[in-house]
Amino acid sequence: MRSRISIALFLLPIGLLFLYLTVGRYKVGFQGVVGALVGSHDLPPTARAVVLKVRLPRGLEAAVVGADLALAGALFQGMFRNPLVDSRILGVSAGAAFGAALAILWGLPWYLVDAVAFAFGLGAVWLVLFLSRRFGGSILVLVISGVLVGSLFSALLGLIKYVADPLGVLPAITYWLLGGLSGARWSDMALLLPLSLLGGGVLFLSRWRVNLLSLDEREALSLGVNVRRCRAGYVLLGTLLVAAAVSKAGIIGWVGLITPHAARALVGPDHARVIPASAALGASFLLLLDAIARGSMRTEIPLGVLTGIIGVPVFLLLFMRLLQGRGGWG
Amino acid sequence: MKRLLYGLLLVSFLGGLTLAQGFTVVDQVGREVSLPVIPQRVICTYGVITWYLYALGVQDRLVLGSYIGLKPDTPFWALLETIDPKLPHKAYRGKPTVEEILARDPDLVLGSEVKDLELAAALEEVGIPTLLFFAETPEGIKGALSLLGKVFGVEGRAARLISYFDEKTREIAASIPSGIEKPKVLFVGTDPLRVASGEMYQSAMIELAGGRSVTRGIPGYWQSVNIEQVLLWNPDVVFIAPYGRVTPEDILGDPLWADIGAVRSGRVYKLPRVLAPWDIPTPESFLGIVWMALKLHPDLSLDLGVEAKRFYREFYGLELPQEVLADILR
Repeated sequence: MRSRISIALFLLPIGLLFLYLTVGRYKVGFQGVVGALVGSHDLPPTARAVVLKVRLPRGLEAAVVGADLALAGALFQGMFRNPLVDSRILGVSAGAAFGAALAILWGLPWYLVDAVAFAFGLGAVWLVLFLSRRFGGSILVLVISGVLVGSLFSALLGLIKYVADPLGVLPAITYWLLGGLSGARWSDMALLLPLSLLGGGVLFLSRWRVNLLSLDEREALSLGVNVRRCRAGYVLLGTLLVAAAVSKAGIIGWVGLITPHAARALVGPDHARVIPASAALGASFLLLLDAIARGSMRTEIPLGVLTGIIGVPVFLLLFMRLLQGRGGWG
Repeated sequence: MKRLLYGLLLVSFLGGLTLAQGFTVVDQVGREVSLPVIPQRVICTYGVITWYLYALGVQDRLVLGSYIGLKPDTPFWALLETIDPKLPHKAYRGKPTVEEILARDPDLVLGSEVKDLELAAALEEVGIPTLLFFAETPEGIKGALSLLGKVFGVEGRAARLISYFDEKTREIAASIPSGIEKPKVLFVGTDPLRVASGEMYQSAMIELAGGRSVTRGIPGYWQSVNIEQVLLWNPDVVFIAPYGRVTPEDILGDPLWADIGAVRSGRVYKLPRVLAPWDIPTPESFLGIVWMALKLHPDLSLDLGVEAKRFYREFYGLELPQEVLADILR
């Protein structure tokens, strides 16, 4: 039973990615998609380009971003022993959003906008860690610092939006913040993929430790784990994942909050299993929603809007009952 | 010197007598507003309407204004300063507060139907008349012009501007053979995949210039689309907004756009601007329509250089510098 769920979870995003490739405004068709993937030359070049250069990089980006956000959500929920925590808890998203707005205001080229966003996401969390260490280093202080730093960057973002030129700069900032993957292409992977593989890989290999982090500090110490040092390491890991996702896809809510709960409902509370399951579900969730976002209307539906509208009720219906059956969270 | 001063006083007194009777106008929201005199100290919080005062030659009455699409340290700012040396003292960034408005002691405030209803109510309380405008359609522009003409006593000039618009659009419509299929046009903003909706003024300009906006029927403001939808639309011509960072080269050099008709034929153009951007619903957009018509139908017997020189001389008192003219004609 357990291994069957694992296999299903592993196959789910792969199957959805294939399905994702068949969806879109431009008619390619099932055979066209297969043909493009196996390198058939009977296909019109435009259809080939649509599958290989538009949908495939975008689908991979959706999957990676979804997995990143879900992994960070699962990690932070476990670490902070709080089911309402999501990937934005430590101010990463707010920092990255501020960085992006600043870079757009300065008129930097697009690839630098993403890099500055990433740097500010990391910078925000560095500030959080610094503050929390300065004031005692407990989980409570860490979370409060995260909320404070996040609010500060949100306010600064508001300031930039207030002074930005409403014709040229403000729409560009809003466009970036809305998030979404409408301009995704292979070159985007250059930053996103290595960072996600690094963060996700390290987290995957050391996933059992997250269980220890969710223990009481003294309990963990009695097991020979220095919780504070360990926690700082995991905070950085989670930050890396969120910053990579946000700097590429803007702010997409709900994925990091709900998918870990879904994972827990499926595989139980053990983080060794919750973490890979969250990644698989996060990737699948975003693949599904982005297919709707880009395929259902002539204009794109903002992903952040869809994750809320479709994601919340679906997960409520599907998983609240499961959670209840298993006796609640954790 | 003294005699001159007395003379001036007498003239202004007599002028004041005739004007002091005041009059009532109906603004574009249908509010009846009575103006005690011909306004001498005007504040404009609607960044579009501010530009109208220049076209009507009453910029001297403006004491504070918000200018859409204008930033200091640009050639457009410098050019505007040549016809309004007080520009640095009256250009307001963002939106003035009620107190700032009161501090300038205005006798009339011009605002936007969409954003300034509350402001108008607040100013009404303190007895400052406020006119609200809605100038985002061809009819709205004409309505705003004739209203302002009446308010400032420059009906003749307003009527000439309106008939310029009517004449040019009639000329364009008449010289396009009725049998031909109109070129399909896509209008992009601050990102190649951020497009003007069918409800925006840009789409109305395209239709008046003898084109067919591909976003016809799409509601709202700027909308995100994906490249698949652009491939489906397959526009014959792409126009880029004058503001923002997108250049024709960005689109012409992008392999994903290579199959689109406009790119194949090299018909990707960025709109010019002289004072305000030519796609903003100000009188200058009349030249934007002429420019578009010439790009869509190169055989038209209109000369943009002649039109622009005449237009700016007659309505703005501005002799177009050679390099500005060259920019427009490029």
